[in-house]
Amino acid sequence: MATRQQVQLNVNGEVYDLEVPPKRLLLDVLRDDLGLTGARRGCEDGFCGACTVLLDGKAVHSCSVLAVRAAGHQVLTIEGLAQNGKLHPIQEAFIQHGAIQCGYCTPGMILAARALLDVNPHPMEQDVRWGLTGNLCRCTGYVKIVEAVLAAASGQ
Amino acid sequence: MEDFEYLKPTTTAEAVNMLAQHSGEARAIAGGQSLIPMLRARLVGPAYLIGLEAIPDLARIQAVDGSLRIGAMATHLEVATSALVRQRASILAEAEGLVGSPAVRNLGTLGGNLCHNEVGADPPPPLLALGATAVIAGPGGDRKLPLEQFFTGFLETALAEDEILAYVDIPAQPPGLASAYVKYRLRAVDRSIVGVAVALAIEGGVCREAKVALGGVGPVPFRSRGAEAVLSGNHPDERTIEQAAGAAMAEARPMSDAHASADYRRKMVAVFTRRALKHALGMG
Repeated sequence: MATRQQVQLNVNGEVYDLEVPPKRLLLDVLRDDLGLTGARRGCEDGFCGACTVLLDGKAVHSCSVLAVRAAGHQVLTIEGLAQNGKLHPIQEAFIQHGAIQCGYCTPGMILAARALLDVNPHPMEQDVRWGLTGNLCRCTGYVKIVEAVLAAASGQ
Repeated sequence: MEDFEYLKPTTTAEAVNMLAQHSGEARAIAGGQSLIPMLRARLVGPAYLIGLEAIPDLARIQAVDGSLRIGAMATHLEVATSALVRQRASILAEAEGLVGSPAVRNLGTLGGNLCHNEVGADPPPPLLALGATAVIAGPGGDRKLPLEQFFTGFLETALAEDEILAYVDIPAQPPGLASAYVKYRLRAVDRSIVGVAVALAIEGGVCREAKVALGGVGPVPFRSRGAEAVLSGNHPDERTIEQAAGAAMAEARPMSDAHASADYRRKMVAVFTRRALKHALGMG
C-alpha cells in the first residue's frame, strides 16, 4: 500500500514541504530527511527523552509522534535554539556549569528545560527535577544539569 | 512498523464510519503515546490509522447537566491543569499529573490511556472511585457504560471495532467528600506498582458511602467491594482503616513483572490503601 502523504512542517522557523509515508516518525524526518541530528535516537519507547523536541512550545518525544501529526505545527529542535550565532542562556549555563558529559541527552535536556522555564520562569529545585523526569542522563550528571537550569532561570 | 494509511476525520460520526468501513483493519489513534510504541514493536499492524486530533468536540472539558464531561482527546496535561477538573474531581487531576513524563502528558490523552487499559495506568482508579461513566460513540449512536464495565480483561475493553470512546462523565460528588489518590512506583515515569483511589462521603464522623479503587494489582482496575463494605456505615478510625486495607489486599489479583512480584504488590495494596484512607481523612 505504502502511499505517501504531503506534509508541510515548520521546523526552527523554516517551512519544509515533504512527501512521507504516513508511518514515518517525526524523529526520522528530522534526522534523516532534514539532517537535524540534534534529536537523538535513544530508547525509541518514549522513556529516555533523548529525542525530545518542542511541538508548539511543548516538549514531546519525537520517536512517538508521526510526521503527519506534526504537520501544521511549530517544531523546535536544538539547532533552532541559538539566535544569530548566540547560544541560548540555557545552553550557556550548561557549558558554564559543566552540565554536559557525553552529550547524548543534552539536546533533549535543554529543550525540556526551555519548555519548563517558559511555563515556570522561576522554578525551585524540585520543579526543575520534576520538569526533567522524562529525560535520562546515563553519565549521572543530574546535579550539574539542575544547577545549570536554575542558573539560567536566575539569569546567571 | 507496517505501512498504513492515515485518515483524519473531523467529526465523531465520520470517525465511526471509517472504523466501520475498515472494520478489522483500522485503529483509532489519540495521542499515540501507547499506540506508536506498539506499532513499532509490531504488536499491532492496522492498515488504517484513524487520527482523532481534528475533532474539536472530543477535546472539550465541560460541565453538562451537573456532571463533569471530559472529552477522550483531552490530554493528560489539560485534565491535570483544568480548573473545572481540579474543583470537581481533584483526585483525577492529581492522577493525571502523575502519568508518564511531561512529554507523555503533553500528547497522551485520557481516552487513549483508558482504551489501552494498561496495568498500572493512573486515571482509572480515581475515575472508578468517582463513579465515572464511559460515553461510547458507535454506528447506532452513543451508549453509556459504567466505567467499571469498560475494562474487560488484560489490555482489553468493551469497545467494539467500530466504536470509539467519546467522553468520560463524572457525576456531581457529595459535599464533604474525602478523597485521595496515592501511587507507588520506583521511577517517576513508571506506571503504578499499586495505585489506590478512595472517595468517602463523610457525615457526622461516619462514612456514609465509600468507594475504594485499585490499579496495577489485577488484569483490570477494580473497586474493592470488601474494603468499601468495611468502611460503609462506620466511623473510619485506625481499626476500621486497618480492616479495610486488609480487605483490599485480599481482593487483589496481581501479576509478577519486572517492576514487582505478585506477592510484593499484594502486600503493598494494604500499605497504600491504608495511606490513601489516612490521607483522605487528614490522618497523616
